[in-house]
Amino acid sequence: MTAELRARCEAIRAEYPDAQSALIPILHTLQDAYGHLTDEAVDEAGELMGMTRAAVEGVVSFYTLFKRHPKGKFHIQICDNLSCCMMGSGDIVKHLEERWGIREGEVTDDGLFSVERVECLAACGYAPAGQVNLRYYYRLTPEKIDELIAGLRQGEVASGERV
Amino acid sequence: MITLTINGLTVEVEPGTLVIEAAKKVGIEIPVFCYHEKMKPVAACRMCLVEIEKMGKLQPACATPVSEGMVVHTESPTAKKAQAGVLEFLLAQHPLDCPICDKGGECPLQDQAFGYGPGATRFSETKRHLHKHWTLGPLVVLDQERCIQCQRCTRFMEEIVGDPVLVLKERGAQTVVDSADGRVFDSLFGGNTIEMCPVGALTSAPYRFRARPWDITQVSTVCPHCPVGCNMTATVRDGNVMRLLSRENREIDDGWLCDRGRFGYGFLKDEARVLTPLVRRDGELRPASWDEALTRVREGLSGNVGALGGGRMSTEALAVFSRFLSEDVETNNVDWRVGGQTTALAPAGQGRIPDIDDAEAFIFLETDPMAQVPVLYLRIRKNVVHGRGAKVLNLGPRASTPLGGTDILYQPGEGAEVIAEALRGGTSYPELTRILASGQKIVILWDGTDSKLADVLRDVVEGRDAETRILVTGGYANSHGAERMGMVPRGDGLDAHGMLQAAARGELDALLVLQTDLVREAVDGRLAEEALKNVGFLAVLGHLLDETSREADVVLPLAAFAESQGTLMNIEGRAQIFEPAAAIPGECRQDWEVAMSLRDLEPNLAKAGQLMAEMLREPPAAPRGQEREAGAVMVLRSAYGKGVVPEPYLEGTVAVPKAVFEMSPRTAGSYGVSEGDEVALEGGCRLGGRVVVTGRMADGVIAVPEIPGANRLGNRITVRALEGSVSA
Amino acid sequence: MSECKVLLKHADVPGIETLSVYESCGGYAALKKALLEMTPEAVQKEVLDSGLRGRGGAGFPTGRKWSFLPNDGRPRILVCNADEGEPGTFKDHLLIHRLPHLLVEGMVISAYAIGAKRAYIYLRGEFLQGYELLEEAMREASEKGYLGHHILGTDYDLEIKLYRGAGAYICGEETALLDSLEGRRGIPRMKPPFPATAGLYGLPTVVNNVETLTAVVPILEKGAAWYRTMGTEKSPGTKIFSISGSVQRPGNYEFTLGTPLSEMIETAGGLPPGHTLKAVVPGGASCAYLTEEHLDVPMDYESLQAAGTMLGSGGMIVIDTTHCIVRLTKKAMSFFRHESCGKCTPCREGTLWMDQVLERLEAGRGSEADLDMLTDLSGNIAGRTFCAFGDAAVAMVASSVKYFKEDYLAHFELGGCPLEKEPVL
Repeated sequence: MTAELRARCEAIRAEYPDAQSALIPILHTLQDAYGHLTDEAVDEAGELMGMTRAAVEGVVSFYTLFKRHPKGKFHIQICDNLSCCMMGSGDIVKHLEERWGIREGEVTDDGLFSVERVECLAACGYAPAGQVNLRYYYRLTPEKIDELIAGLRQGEVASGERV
Repeated sequence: MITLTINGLTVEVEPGTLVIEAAKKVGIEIPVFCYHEKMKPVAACRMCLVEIEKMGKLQPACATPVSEGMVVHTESPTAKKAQAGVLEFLLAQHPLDCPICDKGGECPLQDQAFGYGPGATRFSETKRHLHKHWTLGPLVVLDQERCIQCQRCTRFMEEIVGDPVLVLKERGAQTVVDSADGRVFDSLFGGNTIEMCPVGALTSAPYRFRARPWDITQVSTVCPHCPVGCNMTATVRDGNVMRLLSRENREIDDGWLCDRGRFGYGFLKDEARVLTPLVRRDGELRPASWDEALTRVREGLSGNVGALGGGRMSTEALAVFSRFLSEDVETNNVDWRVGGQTTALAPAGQGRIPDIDDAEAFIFLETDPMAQVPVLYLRIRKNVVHGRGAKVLNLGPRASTPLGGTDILYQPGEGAEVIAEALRGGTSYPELTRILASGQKIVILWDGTDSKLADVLRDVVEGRDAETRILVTGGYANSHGAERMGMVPRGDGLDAHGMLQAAARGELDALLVLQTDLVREAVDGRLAEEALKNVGFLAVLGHLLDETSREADVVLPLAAFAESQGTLMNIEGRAQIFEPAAAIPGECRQDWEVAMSLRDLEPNLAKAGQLMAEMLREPPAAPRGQEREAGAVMVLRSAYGKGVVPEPYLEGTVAVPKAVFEMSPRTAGSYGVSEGDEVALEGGCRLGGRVVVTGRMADGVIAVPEIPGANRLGNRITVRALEGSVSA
Repeated sequence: MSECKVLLKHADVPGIETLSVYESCGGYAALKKALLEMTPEAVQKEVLDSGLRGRGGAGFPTGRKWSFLPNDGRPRILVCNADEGEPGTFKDHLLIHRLPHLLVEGMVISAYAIGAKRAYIYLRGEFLQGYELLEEAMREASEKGYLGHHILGTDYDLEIKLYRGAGAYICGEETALLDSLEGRRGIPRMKPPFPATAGLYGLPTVVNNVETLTAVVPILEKGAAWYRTMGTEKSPGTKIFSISGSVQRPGNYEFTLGTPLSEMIETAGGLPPGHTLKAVVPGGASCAYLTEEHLDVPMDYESLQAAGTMLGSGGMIVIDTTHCIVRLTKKAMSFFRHESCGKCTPCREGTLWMDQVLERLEAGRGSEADLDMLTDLSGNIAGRTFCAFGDAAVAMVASSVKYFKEDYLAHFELGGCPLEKEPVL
């Protein structure tokens, strides 16, 4: 753990001194720093919070956004709930796999992409909706996906769209 | 008082009573899983849903307080449908393991499925699969598929023990109980979760697949491992103890056991168990008849004789031995206090265990309750965290409880001065002074070793206006009984330490050792060894061939607690009867039988009991303290001691102390070591271990746990950092 | 009648997320009125009199919820529930990402009203951009004296902290939210005690939805009486309805409560040409289906309850006959199975079981007995669970059996989906 990262985590502890509130923001911070919550990250969170590893894992395992396995540099989330499903999210997931080789449960060989289907992203009016690294992309089509992936591969930033 | 109606029956209860408790009062049983009397309700399982008039939805009886005029129906069609519904849901994913599940036959899920279930399930999908043999620790194996997520285990560890080592992980139907990888379920109280688990999810590793409830018998017994005297039930199959369960006694154990007691029966079948009398012939111990062995003992115990131990024997046996020693052997050198204790009885204000519940302050005086009287630690914690909120003062060279409070650290032997000063209103320890002067009820737990404290404690009890109760924690399961039966030096008789010194010098002709591994349990193990070598004649009564009995001229094999009957007097002086559960192995005999045989009496428990009753009418003598040399080493002694009772099931668990040496920062500095260093303590022997630096140790003292060799170190040591240690 | 834009009045003004534009559209006038001209009690009364009901889904009268706070001198906390996760709902998404200042203003007014000096916004973890926008809005507001110490020169202080969740629908339940805000697993708590007496960190807490808090602004600005001129007697005011699915112009639309369902669908562009309505999920996946029979139902809390469903969050999903209702019902059940916290038996085991059954039924391997079983299981879950999630989980499936039995039977007869839809993954 770098000194800078530790300092940030300790600042979070100072900001949320009550109960174990600081844990979840610290986990977010560590996950962002390491790409996913490694065993070390879990231990570090436990050490910072004075909690056992089991207690930290209990919290980590409850929440879908906390990942214990590596993700791609760009982690794509495609909503597959009611409206998005009706509007063709399944096709988007299929397109990612067939056109770009990005499959659920895997990270692409170049380490750039991973994808998962997620529950409602609260963007049903802009279905099919998705996120890249937690930033929204609305009204997805295969073409839009192509543009997005191509751009990301060329070094563009996943800045998301404004609603 | 509140009056309500349940199933047509009227019941009157205190406000705040839960519906389920009110129902119990009128004999109405409401099925439950997650509800547990001793823990806060969580209303998670939904099994106890009842119909309450004027309340729209069904309500969980475990979490609904009564109200005036409430009308409750626990068996209405709606309630029954809810119960059947919950069971159908639970059984849907529950694996069909009954034929091989330990819990089968004594399983609340089975019982309630039978009593309240739908009869047949409509579930025809595929059941989920999880780990079926998830080793949580050396003693507890979890079958995650069977778990019904009642959270009794997680709540017990967090609420009652204060050690949240079990947690829930994942979410929804994937929720599982786990402890962290790398941190095994190593609580001293873990075994309680096995008993409280309403299904066969948490199982006992030693008991797994060993017996079925229909071919066992259950016998009441009492734990022989420490002065608390927790009540237990022995599960017996074919004359063998298969496991031990709690037998709730609200005034003592409150339904809990520690793992030392719960799993402390493996020694019954230990390889080292002595099954016939042994007599030394031609330099070797050989099997002999009881007649021959008893004769040898009677002959050998002549001249200058000493008798040591007995703190674990039945009171009946001790009564007879006491007379044997005073009238037949005619010696005053008798002492149960091999661990250096002064007394097992409170010098004044003898406490009862329920005093813990309404104490307003606790003083832990040179004792670690968690180590010496573990189940009482839970009761104390209940007061401090969930009850009165008693203040905690830790006095001694070492403060240890996780309950916080104020630590007053002092050098070994200084305790009496500290307390006397505070009692006089001194200012050195304001917290102690304040509490002693207050009108609060104080319960003092004292290990019973430093004799100067006995006098001061008498002053405290008599000098205070408020109630003071004392519980002496440093004895064995029946030290109280031993002391009452006069197993302490009479007149100018030698005490335990004196006897060992005399024997070592060759001045003692004979030694009778009663159920203690002296070499391991004596204050000075090297002295004990010398004593055993140089004494003229050595007779040992016990269970195992150990370092002490190996030196004997005669070994008389005793039936163990689960195989015999008698009375033990616990920390309060409460007499408790234990019943024989298992068959007596080999040619072992019960301790009172042996005692009576030595006196040439026909063994008769009733007669021994009468003698015991007669002697109990005599007032106890306050034995004088034993000479102790204070020094740099403090051995953390407990009744468990791993002296008499090596316990195979407990290897690798927290019940067996690990080699860590606690010391203050200044002490560490003076030896040039730091936290985490691997070191060797060198004195009378060499002990390796890890340094733990803590602010809860007095300077100049190193706390050494009860590991083999701890009592051979002596008081003058050097500390040598080992190669490859962390610090320079 | 169609839209009635109160909250969304300035939603399309470019730059409305910035303080200067927001102010130029009249922003923070209500705050000034509340703090400078009214006592906290008066503000509370205004909200109570307005009849505003919680917009997150429960519809509990907001003023009444505020009144449950005990007068025991303990510090009070306001929590904004921005964990929008009810499938079909995306109004808070719009409010947070487009009108962050409206939320900030609403929060300051509300916190002032209940005497809270600490407030939190619990944002679902996926609202990362919302977090950034709110952070910036709060910074701007503080600079201008609308937030922080001595707001508008008064002796009222308020600190708002932003807290991100990490992906759990159940954290939208107010007590689970509080547990999550305390850094734990988001498991609902036993009530009583209610958050008003023992909420965040055991302190008196009010948890309000984003939209509820933004509604406080126009109520203060124009008054309770004005608010009551809109909507119905028991459901006054306006509400943002998130309309999605088989409509030509999906989006957030604000209507007065009581507007008929058919009108709302029309406003959202109606069904695509040639498409026929199959069903409407009126207020998010926790609500029972409505059918074409219910097109005239006024969209307010009472009318929908009378129709056997709920207004809920107002997340409306319109479904035409080109979609497979069995498939969508299964999808909803998978969602509930995935999101069940696992605490209580009926929900934990029931959602799993019913999801497994629906998977089988969708593949055509079932019978009418299965449908009866689903109805019965729903009855064993609804009203029997630790929290309202259980009732939510069974609403769609129970109503699907009631209204769309033929669709199920067609699956059984065919051994698959008559619309040839691929089974849910």
